[in-house]
Amino acid sequence: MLGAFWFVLAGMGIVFLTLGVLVLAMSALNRWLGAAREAGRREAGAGTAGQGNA
Amino acid sequence: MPDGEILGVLALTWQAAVMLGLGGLLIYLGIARQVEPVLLVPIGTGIILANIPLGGVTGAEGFLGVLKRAGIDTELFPLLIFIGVGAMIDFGSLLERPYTVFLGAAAQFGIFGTFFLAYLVGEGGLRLFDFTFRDAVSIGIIGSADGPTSIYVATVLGTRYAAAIVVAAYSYMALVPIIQPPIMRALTTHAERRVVMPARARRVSPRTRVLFPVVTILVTGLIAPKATPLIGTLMFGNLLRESGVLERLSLAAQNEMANIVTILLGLTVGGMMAAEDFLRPETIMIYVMGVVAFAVGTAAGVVFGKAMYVASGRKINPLIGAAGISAFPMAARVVQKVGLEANPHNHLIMHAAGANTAGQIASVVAGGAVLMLVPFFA
Repeated sequence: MLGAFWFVLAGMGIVFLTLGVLVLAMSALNRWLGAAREAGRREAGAGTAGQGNA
Repeated sequence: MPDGEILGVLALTWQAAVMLGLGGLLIYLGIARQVEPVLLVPIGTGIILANIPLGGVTGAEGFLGVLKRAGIDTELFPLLIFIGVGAMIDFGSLLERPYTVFLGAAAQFGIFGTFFLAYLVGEGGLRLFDFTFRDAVSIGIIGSADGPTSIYVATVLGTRYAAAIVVAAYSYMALVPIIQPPIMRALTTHAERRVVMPARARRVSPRTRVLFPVVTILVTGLIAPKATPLIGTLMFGNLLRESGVLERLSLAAQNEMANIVTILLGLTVGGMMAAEDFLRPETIMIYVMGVVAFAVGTAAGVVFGKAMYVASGRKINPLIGAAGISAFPMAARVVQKVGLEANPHNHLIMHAAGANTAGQIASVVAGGAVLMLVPFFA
């Protein structure tokens, strides 16, 4: 039964580890893509402003 | 040639008659009571076909025997179903509320807790039932509340009880609205159930949604490689949905493919329930363990929800933990209903959907984890 106990522990550990890494990866990706989108928007805004001034 | 080999009725045993009755009951529940008709009607029909004496449909040349070899023994049917399931699921609520992923993870204790009990009553301790380590793991997987994962894991582990496990997994899925609420109420206070959670969540870019299935395949595959077939097909289906350019394929996966494979899978699973294999004390125990699995998974999710309630300064309603079992979307609806009972203005459905979709991924990861670990422990 001790083996079964370690099996349970290892199984739950793998589940939490995998999902933890997944959530970290997705949060980082979402932040990075959000920042890239924001930078793109700022760039587009600056370009439009320049044209307006001309 | 004896009469019994010509007329089926003369070869009918009481065990086969019981199974014919069971098949009829499942068809009745599916049609008259509308309990999971998509599954119970094909399974019930499969049971009847398999238990007609001298019918020969489950033999090597019989059509259900051929389907079993082609779709179950090769693990193909559950994987094809998963492409359809992936195309049906919107993981947006999970991406908007990433913390819900841990509720999905916690609810997988239903698998491991039930394994422990099955092994205890089996060869691991009390020896009351003929359950080996592999059988106990296969029984525990009922707690994934996920039919395709149950079929896949039980088949790969080669348990004798695969048919009973699959039928239990699908039957209890339909009973989630009955099994979960009493446990949710027993483990939470009225004040906890009343906690209102904000409807607004963080924005998720369309690119993140497209990348999510690919990242999930990579992360899961690299940590728990045995889960790759399951997570790969699930996330391929989701990629069809989220890509925005494959609507035709996404709809085909959700409808035509999922429907055809469901018919074949249901009939084949029913066909695996021959009287001589099914009417045993072990089968009845598997049904008992099935309830335990769903109950333990629900309780683990709610208890983890309570821990998050405390850690978040009473901002998270612990009820959403119950949706961590992967019965999708039933468990999320149950959370919404129990939440509304406590507070008529409290809509938990989006938060529960996050935990519920997390449970879908977590159950696949748990399936991969047990396949990975069994060779080291069995």
